[in-house]
Amino acid sequence: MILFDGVLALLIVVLAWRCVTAGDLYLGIVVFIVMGLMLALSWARLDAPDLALAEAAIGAGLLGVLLLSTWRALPGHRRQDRDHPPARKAVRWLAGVASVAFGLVMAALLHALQPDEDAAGALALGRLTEAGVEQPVTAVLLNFRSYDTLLEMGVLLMALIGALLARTPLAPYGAATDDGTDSPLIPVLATTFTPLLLLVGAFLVWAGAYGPGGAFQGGAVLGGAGVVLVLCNRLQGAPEAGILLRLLLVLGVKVFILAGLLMLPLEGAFMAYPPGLTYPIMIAIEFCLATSIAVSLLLLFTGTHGVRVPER
Amino acid sequence: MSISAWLAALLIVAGTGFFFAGTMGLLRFPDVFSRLHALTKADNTGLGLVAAGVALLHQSWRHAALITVIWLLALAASSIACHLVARDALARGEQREEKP
Amino acid sequence: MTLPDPFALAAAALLALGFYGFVVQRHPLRRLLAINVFGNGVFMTLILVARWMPGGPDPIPHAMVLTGIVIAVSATAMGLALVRRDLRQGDGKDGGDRD
Repeated sequence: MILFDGVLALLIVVLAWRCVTAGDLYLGIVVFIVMGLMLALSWARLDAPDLALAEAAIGAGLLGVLLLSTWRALPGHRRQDRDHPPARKAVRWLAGVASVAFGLVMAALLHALQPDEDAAGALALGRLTEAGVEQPVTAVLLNFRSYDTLLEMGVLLMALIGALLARTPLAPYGAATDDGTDSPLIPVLATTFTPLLLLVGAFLVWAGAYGPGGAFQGGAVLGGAGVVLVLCNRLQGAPEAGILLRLLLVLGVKVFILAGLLMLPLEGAFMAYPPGLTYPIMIAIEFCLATSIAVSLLLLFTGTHGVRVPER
Repeated sequence: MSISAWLAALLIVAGTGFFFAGTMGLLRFPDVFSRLHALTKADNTGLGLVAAGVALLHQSWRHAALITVIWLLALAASSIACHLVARDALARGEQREEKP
Repeated sequence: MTLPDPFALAAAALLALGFYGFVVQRHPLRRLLAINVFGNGVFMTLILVARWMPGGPDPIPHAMVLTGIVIAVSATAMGLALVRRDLRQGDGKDGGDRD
């Protein structure tokens, strides 16, 4: 397998090189997406199937869609480097030498580093039976280090608010006059793949309790189903968000905090769950988180405050 | 190695051959339409052969069924993507005078 | 002297390339790409660190990478929104979201 690993690692490096230096910006974005998929493959090889799923769904899939749609929305002459030429030759050489040195030092450090005896992960694995779920990563995210996840949801919400503020004056809101959506295969895509995507997303959230999967991977797939619907012109951005959508958007954070506060008198600490109830609480939190993540990612894609079904 | 393992290896190698041919077509063919032709035909066959080989290695009906579903979905998705790319290229080709 | 892990070399190369791209490129979209390449190098490093723990991969770096992927995407999405706004503003108002 060393041959496979070596080829994969080499491919990742070449793709990263092309991504950073490609002459055409569009090519750079496409290469970035391919690199994301190769990274997912390599992480599956490195005993991290959870992260491979997340990278394929979020890092390569949704981020790729966001990058391409932004590229497409730019005015034609801004899509290339004319107004933003790369740095001067001297700077390029200097940066090249510096980054080669940086890379060599990092490689040497990574090669020389020795594993630490008392890793926190050993503690987490040792107390996994108390966590309520069998999957260690889910246990860490939702129980042992739930503060991190709560704040992460906050960051996602903040980024969404920032992106919406920046994009609100640009949003078209009109009926999409997109080319290609009148193709006879588009209804097939919308009606066959969307239910399957929803099913797979929900399954991934559920599977997070015992195997690779979880709220983030599942939420990303659910959000991706929404993106497919928008691309197929079955959903479109709306200037106003209904109260239901707003509620779904903050559902994850709210339920997370509520569960933490409700158990406060019982357990004496914020976000400590009573032993018998841990599993149902964590599944409930996970589904709420996935819903909020899906809606947030969808709105990050449309760049509007809400979505609606277009009139036809 | 059992007979089924040999058969699986044969299928996977044959599938890789189709992938190789498809990639050669992608690199060597002159325009969008013939490239799409090479990609969708050869790669879908290659994927099917590799999937059949992997299913054979697993020796389980459940896994075989799952792999078949995955193959069918990939088939549907790639034909829709191919159709959309071709439509777009056709629309562009009519506007532009450059060679494709 | 053991042979270095190819993925460790790839992680170092991703970090170096991300740094190079961020310094050299001026187009805001390319800078966002470079930041993401750098971030992927960090994720790869954490995943390699997680493998060291005896008795299975360490779940804590994995959880950190999972958090990191989501944060990176949301930060990049906000950056992309700013890029849209910034590059559009110089051109006066032109209606829709597409050309």
